[in-house]
This record gives sequence, C-alpha cells and structure tokens, in this order.
Amino acid sequence: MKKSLILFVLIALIVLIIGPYAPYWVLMIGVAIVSFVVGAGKVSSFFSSGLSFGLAWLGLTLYISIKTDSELPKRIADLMGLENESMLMLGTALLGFVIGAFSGLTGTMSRRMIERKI
Amino acid sequence: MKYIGFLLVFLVTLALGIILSLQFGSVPPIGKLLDPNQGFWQNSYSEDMDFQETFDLKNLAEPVKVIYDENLIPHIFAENEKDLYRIQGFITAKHRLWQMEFQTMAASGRISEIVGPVAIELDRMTRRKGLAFSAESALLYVQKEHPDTYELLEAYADGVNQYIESMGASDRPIEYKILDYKPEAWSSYKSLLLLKYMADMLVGDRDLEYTNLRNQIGQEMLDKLYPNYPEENDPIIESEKIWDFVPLEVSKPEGLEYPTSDIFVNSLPQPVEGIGSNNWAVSGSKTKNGNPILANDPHLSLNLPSLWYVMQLTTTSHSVKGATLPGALGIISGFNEDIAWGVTNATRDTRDWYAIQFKDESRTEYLYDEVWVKSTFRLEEIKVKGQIAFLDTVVYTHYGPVVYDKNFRSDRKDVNFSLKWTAHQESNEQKTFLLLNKGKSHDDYIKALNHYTSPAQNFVFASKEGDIAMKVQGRFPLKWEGQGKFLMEGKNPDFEWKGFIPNEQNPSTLNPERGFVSSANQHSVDPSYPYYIFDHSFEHYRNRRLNNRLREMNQISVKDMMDLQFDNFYLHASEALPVMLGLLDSMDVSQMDEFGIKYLNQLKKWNFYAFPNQEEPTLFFVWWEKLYEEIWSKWKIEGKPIVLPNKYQTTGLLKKEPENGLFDNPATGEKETAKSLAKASFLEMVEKIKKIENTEKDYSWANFKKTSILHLVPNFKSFSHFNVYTGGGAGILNATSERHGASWRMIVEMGENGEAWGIYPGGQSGNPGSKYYDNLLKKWANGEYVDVSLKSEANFFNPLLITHFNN
Repeated sequence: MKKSLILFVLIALIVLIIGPYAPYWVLMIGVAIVSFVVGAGKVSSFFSSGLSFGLAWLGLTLYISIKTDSELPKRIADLMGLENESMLMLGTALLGFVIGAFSGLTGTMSRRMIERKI
Repeated sequence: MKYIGFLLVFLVTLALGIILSLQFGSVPPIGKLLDPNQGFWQNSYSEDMDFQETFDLKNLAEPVKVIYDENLIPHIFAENEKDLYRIQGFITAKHRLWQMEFQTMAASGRISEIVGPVAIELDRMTRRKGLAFSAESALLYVQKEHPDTYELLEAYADGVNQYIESMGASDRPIEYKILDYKPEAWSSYKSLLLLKYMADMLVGDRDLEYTNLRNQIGQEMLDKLYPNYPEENDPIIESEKIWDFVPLEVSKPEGLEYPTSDIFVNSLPQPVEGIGSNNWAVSGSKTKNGNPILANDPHLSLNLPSLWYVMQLTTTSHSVKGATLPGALGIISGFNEDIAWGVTNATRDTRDWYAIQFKDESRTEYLYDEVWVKSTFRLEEIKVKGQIAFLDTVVYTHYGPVVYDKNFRSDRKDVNFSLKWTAHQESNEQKTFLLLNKGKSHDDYIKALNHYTSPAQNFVFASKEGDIAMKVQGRFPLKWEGQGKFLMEGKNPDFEWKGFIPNEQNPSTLNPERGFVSSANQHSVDPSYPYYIFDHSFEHYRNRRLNNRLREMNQISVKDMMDLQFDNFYLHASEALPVMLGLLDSMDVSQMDEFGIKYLNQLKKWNFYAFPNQEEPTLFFVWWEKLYEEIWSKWKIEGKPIVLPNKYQTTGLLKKEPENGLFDNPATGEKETAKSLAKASFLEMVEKIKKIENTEKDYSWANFKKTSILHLVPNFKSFSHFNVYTGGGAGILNATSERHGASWRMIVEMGENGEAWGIYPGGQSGNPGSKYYDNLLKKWANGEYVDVSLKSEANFFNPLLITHFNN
C-alpha cells in the first residue's frame, strides 16, 4: 500500500515537473524506471501509475481550462467529432491512464524478471 | 509464461509510445496532440497570459520597445530601419507564423507536403503558372539592383528565424500540431514569394474563353455584348482629365489574323467575382474639419487567421501604422504623420497566351520568326506527404511557362499554350511599400510607385499638406487595339508586346476639381486615354454608387466615411428590378399562388437596400440568378470554356431590346422573349424561396447569403465562423458576399489632430485558442471600428503588454 502511494506521488511529480520539457514518451520511460525502482506489485503498479498519470493530465487540463477560459478545447472537441470539451478532458485523462498504467506495469514486471534470475 | 507476459506488456507499452505519436491519414498524432504539457491544451493561452517582458535578440543595433494596445496591436519603437524590420519579422512570426509559412507554401506549390496527394493538382497549377520561378528571379534582381531592400529583407527574415529558434515544441501554432509538421526557416525569397501570391490572387485573364466565344458568336456580337467601355462609364481618373503627354506609337500590324480554332482545355480558375476593393480620398474643401480624409477597404477572400495584421512601425525618423501582410515588410495600406495611402486592384489584362508550335514531341525546339528556337525545361519535384514525390516537367519558351499541354488540363498533343505575364518580370514591389512608409509628400508617393510592377493597383493618396491623388500603377504592356484579348500565335513576332507604357503616362490625377478621387475596380479611364486598355472584370456598380455619393456629399466627417464603407445600396437591383417587374406586367397575377403574390408585393415595395434582416434582396438575387441562367445557359458547351455577358450588359439588353432574338433558345420549339424568360424565372424563384421558407423558416438576406469566414484549412470547421449576421453583397459598396468582402476597412483623417480608424473580420492573433483570434469579428459585422491613430511611446495610454528587446 505504501509503495503504491510512493509510486503515485513520484509519477505525478514526473508528469508535472518533467512534462513541460519532454514529450509524453519520455515520461513513459520515466514512469517505467520509477516503477522498476519502487517495485510495487503488478496490480498496484498498474493502477497507481495509471491513476497518477491520468489524474495529473486531468488536473492539467482542468487548470488550463479554468485559467484561460479558452474556446480551444471546444473547437478541438468539435474537430475530433466529440460532443463537448468534457469528453475531450475525459479522453485526455483516459489516454494518460493507459500510457501511465502500461509503463508502470512494464517497469515492475521487468524488475520481477531480473529478481527471479538473480 | 512470465517472459511471454512481460513481452506482451512491454510491446503494448512500446506500441502506445510509438503509435500515439504518428499521424494516420487525416487523424493527427493523438498522444502528441492531447498531451496537456505539449499538445493543443498549451495553445489555450491568450497572448496577455503568456508573454515575455524582455527578450535578448541577436543582431540588434539598439534596444527596441514593443507596446501592445488593448486589441493586441503591436507598436514597435526602434532607432533605425534595420532594427525595426528585424522586430517586425519577430513579432509577426510570434502571432502569425503558421499562416505566413502556409501562404508561401501555397505560392510555391508545396501544399502536398503538408496535406498529401489531394493537393497535387493545385500544386502543379501553381508551379505551372511560374510563381516560384518569378520569385527566384525577383530575388536575384533585388540582390543585384537594390541591395538596400535586400538588407532589410534579410533583417526581417532574421527576426522571423530568431523567433522560430526561441520557440519550444509546446509553443508551436496549433495547425503544426494537428497536421504534424514543423516550421522551416524563413528567407528573403519567401517574402518576395508572398507578393507573387498576391499577384496570383488578383490577376486573371479570359483570353482562351474569348477565343472560343468569338468563334461561337462572331466578332460583331462580341463587340455588342462585351464592349470595351460601358455606356455609363464612371472611370477612376475623372473623365475631364486632359492627357498632356505624347503617347508612344503602336498600331496593329497589317493583315494580322488571330488563330481561329476552338480551344478545349479545362481553363484555370479565375479570381472570383467579388474580389475587388474600394478606396477614395476627399479634399479638405469637402470635409467638416477642412482636412483630407482617405478611406480604403480591400475585398478579398474572408479567412482566418486574417489576411491582414495591424501594426505601428516607428523609428526616430518616421512613424507609420496600418495593415501589414504577414511575411512582407512595412505597412501595405496605411498612413504616417504626413501621408496616407490605400490600394484597390487595377484589373487589366496583363496576362497573355501564345500557342506554341514545337518541332517534335521532345519539345526542345519551337518555331519563332521562321527559325527553330531552343526551349528550356524546369523540373518540378512536388513532395507529397506519405507518398513518393510527383515529378512534373514544365517547358519554358521566351514568353514564359507552357502551362497547358498534353500533361495538364488538356488531352490533345497539339495544345501547348505559353503564358506571358508581367508578374514574371524583374521587379521590386517591396521597395514601393518601404518608400511609402516613410514618404512625406506627393513627390515621394510618385517615386515610390515607380518601383511597382504587379499586381497593378489603384493607389489612392492624401497628405497633411492637403493634396489628394490617385494613380493606376503597374507595368502595363504597350498593346495595339485588341492585342492579347484572344489566344495569340507564338511563332509570329507581330503578336509580341510592343514594349511598356512609361510610368509617367499611367493614368493619374492630382487634386481634381471635383474635390475627390476614388476607385472601385472600374475602368481606369474614359476612352480619350491614348492607349488600348482592356479587362474582362471591370466593375460597373460600386464605382457609380461611390462617385454619386461623393459628388453630393459635403461637410464630410469621419463618421460619414464609415457609413459609406458600410453602404448597403444595391444599385444593380435598383436598375434591373423595375425592368424585370415591367416585363412581368402582362403576366396574369391570378396564375400565382399566395407565395408568388406575397413575394411580388415585397419586391414592389423594396427600398433597394441589402440590410441583413431584409427579405427582398434574397428574392431579387434569386430571381436575377434564374433569369440570367435562362438567358445565357444555352451558350455553354461542355469542355469548351467561354465567358457570359456581365450583369450590366444583360440588364441593358433586357431594358432596351426585350424582343431581341438573343433571348430565344433555338433548341426549343417556342420562341423565348425577355418577357417569357422573366416570367419563367420568377416562377422558379418562387419555388426556391418557398422551399427555403418551409425548411429554414427564414429567407432574410443574411441567412440566405451565409457570409462565412473560413480557416485557411477548410477542414478545420470549428476554427471558422459560419453564417455571420451582416448585410451588403457583391457589387454593393459594403461588398460582403458569402466568401468575400472587406478584409480590412480603414479611414484616416489627415492633419494635426488627425485620427485613424480600422477594422477587419478576425483578430490580431493567429491562434484559435486566443481571445484575440476573432475578437474584432463582431465589430466588423456591425460596421464598427477600433481606433488605430498613431501613438507615441511617451504617451501610450493603457498598454496591454510591453516587451523590451535588447541585444
């Protein structure tokens, strides 16, 4: 439980601090490394990483939307054939969850493999 | 099993990483786009939330200050011109980078690189017209003959490039993110390309169509329905003007005959009707404050990001403000402390076609003056996104590129038409604007215009000293009567242009007695002008309305001029409708249903204005459209391009010769007359409007014409504005039709307490996420303006943002 909380916090920090300077696939590598180091269980790594990544992205979209009050999310939602901007936020969060979760799972599974070998 | 499980998860993760960063067809790279740190979310910030107070820019001689006003209009305060244009490049790129690059990509036939194979035909056409070719030769010419201009072009390009370098991936304009490509470096060549793009947008010709038309209806009918001058000519240069120069001699070589065969090609698209502009200046004697007032509203395709970008450019020696074209240096339509100027398109046939006879299929030699002359080849490599490049070979003769041949818009081996166009010639239009920006007098204005070749423009002028002037400026070929109206024989040197009209003999006027100068794309002059001039698309309505109003107006204020730019009087309707109603008289009203009677009564009571809430303009517009179709559609033959008589000539024919055999369609058994066609078209109109009334419940003018302002990528519908509520129409001073209209309106009162007002349908920002992307649109649609008077650095009231640029 404790490990998954640590994982959650660390991944959120990666997304929020490194995110502005690196594309999302670099963050994926970062998540895998952190998950490797923390070494939580498979299920908790998957959900902890996914939720952390997804919620961080959701938080960012909320922050940007509220701060800017921009028409853009609505326009992009329209362009993508989505009903409204909430769907777009949800989509962004889901995408964040999926890439975070799988990166986390990859990290912890590779640790397991190495541990068995040793 | 463990290994397989790991491998599976690893592969899924890897696939997510890769696939989400790739573009599939028109689906953008979803991962990159949705990433809140890097993707589109970052484009939500308006410029006032995300700006730098200081910036270190290389190559600056002195510090420069940029102050934005509440509409995000930048005011650049520099010590010298080089610093000024370096910063102009930087600031323009900051707000309009994607647009300025996209327009030059379009001008050089490179759209396929961005959007894929759908644009290959478009790119081939652009390249065959030789736009890139002419920008290349313009660059060589400017480098060699005008190093002063070149130096400033380079400074501007450096400013743009320093902005591009300073920009992080998350700062990239949204269009790059969706279409998944990166901006490339700017260059002087691209600035020149942009001016060629304007030439392409504004210049057309109908030579091939006229050739077919003459074969079809004969020279006599052609002269009757397509006269060189209209009956009520109200030209740009007042008819009273005395031409006090000795013209160059030119006459048609004896016994010369045009080729007579029909032409079956898919001819090039032409500038659409509605592309035009108004400008005028009234002298102090006609204004309330005794100062000259100048007005300009160029009508172009209505797009977002807006074609124009407003700026003030100030150095220690001059201060100028107005509309810039992102990518070009200086102000294009604007004013400084001493003078103001504006432009309208001076349509005139400066594009001619020559039929080329090649020796054999290799097309390496062509016949000219009874000898075989070598042609040159230009290989055009069109890169295509997601595909291998498309190669197109274009043959060049001494006239210019062979646009139409067996490979392009024609199936026949013997079709080889070479294009001769003044836009291909060496010129430095940029210098005209650089000089106008710091001009102080009428003399300076004339000197500036001498560098201007293409696209020909009517330059209006007013000065603080009280002068008003107009000059039709471009490089105009010296032609004998009728030369270049039809396809010409390339092998016969008698068909060559005979030289050029000297700049000082181009039509111009200074302080005419009537107290105003004006232009609205009509004929430049009256028939007393000693040279042959011709164009298919001269305007017949806006000019007369404008001049009638200016003649009767006195004690004019800035507000009056605003009202005139927004004038919705439908002159064509006021002339044609009474004739059409007269033709209906014999018609039995009892034959009509209640809708027909209602529409007829509406039309009878109409005041001939085209305000957005009125229904009558819709009724008239549709009726006219149907009537015109009934009269002329019989002339159209599939695959053989022609032009139909314009609405001015058609109206005249209806009025004066309703029994003319022209109204009859020989293909039908009955004999049609103006009366029978008016009746038939009225009933067609009733059916159409009835349908609109039933489906949309609303046939008011604004709802019918549906003025739309579209993003430059037409698929990006949510970046566009549809169905904007505004009046006016083609041929009306407020020339707002469905897709065209005043892309910039400006009014300047000269003098010590001078003021200036401007507006355009969009906003200063090119970013659809910014509140400055379309904040001016509503004001524009309502005919309102924002204050664009010159501002000083010391007394800048209420700045929005300030940026200090240091070396």
